[in-house]
Amino acid sequence: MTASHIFEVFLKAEGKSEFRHAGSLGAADREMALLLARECYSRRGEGHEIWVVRRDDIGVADTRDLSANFVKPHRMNDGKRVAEHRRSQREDE
Amino acid sequence: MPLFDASSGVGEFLTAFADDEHLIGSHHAWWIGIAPFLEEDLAFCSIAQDELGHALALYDLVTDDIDQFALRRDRSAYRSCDFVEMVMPDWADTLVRHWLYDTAEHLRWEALADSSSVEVRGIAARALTEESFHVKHARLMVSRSVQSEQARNIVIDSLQRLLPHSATMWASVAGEAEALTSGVTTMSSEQLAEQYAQALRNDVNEWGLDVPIVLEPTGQSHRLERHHDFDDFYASLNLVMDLDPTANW
Repeated sequence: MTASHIFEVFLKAEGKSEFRHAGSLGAADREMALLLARECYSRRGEGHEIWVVRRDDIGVADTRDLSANFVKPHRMNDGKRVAEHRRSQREDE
Repeated sequence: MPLFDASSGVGEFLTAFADDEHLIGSHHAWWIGIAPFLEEDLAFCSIAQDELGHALALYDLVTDDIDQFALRRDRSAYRSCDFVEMVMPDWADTLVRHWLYDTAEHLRWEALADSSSVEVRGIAARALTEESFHVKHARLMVSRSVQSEQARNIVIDSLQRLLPHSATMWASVAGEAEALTSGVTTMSSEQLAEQYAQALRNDVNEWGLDVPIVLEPTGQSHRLERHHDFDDFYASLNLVMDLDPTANW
């Protein structure tokens, strides 16, 4: 039997944590993928819940859309200038 | 002191199951790094480790020195069946054996789930949670394989050859009678063999395989002799330990 689809595997640990990407695997179908994901990524109990998603079903953004004009200092407020301003005001007092 | 004397009837009965688990786990583990694809390599060897874990739990009931008992006993003291002593260098045979063995193993643990021994019951309850996954894995692998005509013919060929050997799993040790009367187990090998045959019939019907399920054993029927593959495989398991039997590991 050969792997015919690539699946992305997500694990969620017990509790309130979110699902996180664990890796990928090849499997003939979703049922096989779930079975193999258990052994490949959660055989030591790393996951309390497992998702598998066919890679073909994942929407992938064009990286050019994401990197265009990414230098936008006016959107980057780390609070430094405000902090400096308030500090200088305090010192003036 | 172990819970049961290995030379008692119950001890012999538990040893037979432990030896089967030990041998099948060791044979499965042989595939590490060379199974047909990485995902299955990991899954199959993880299952092998589970089987070795079951063997460990059972050996612990009959001995205080598991390494010595599991690996260094005289060959005549083993109570494993032919089916788990056979070397299977072919992946299709290995997969079919996995399906046949785990179908049987699940039934054997179920027979211990209501054991009169609380220790045996506890081990069975834990093993069954893993065993349901092993059966699911084996059934999925075989059911997917038989979807292609070429693989289907290979599986049918393996099944026809291995089915008579698999019947040796139901060869009972003399101690089984004591295990039954004391309530350590709740089903005889004969009863389990019937359930096993029915489970296989359900599977082959579901998958449309035209293979009659008739259990006519080929090989030893009392677990007192070893299959001709046993000695070489056991020598390979003991290879490193034999280099210096006095070493502490």
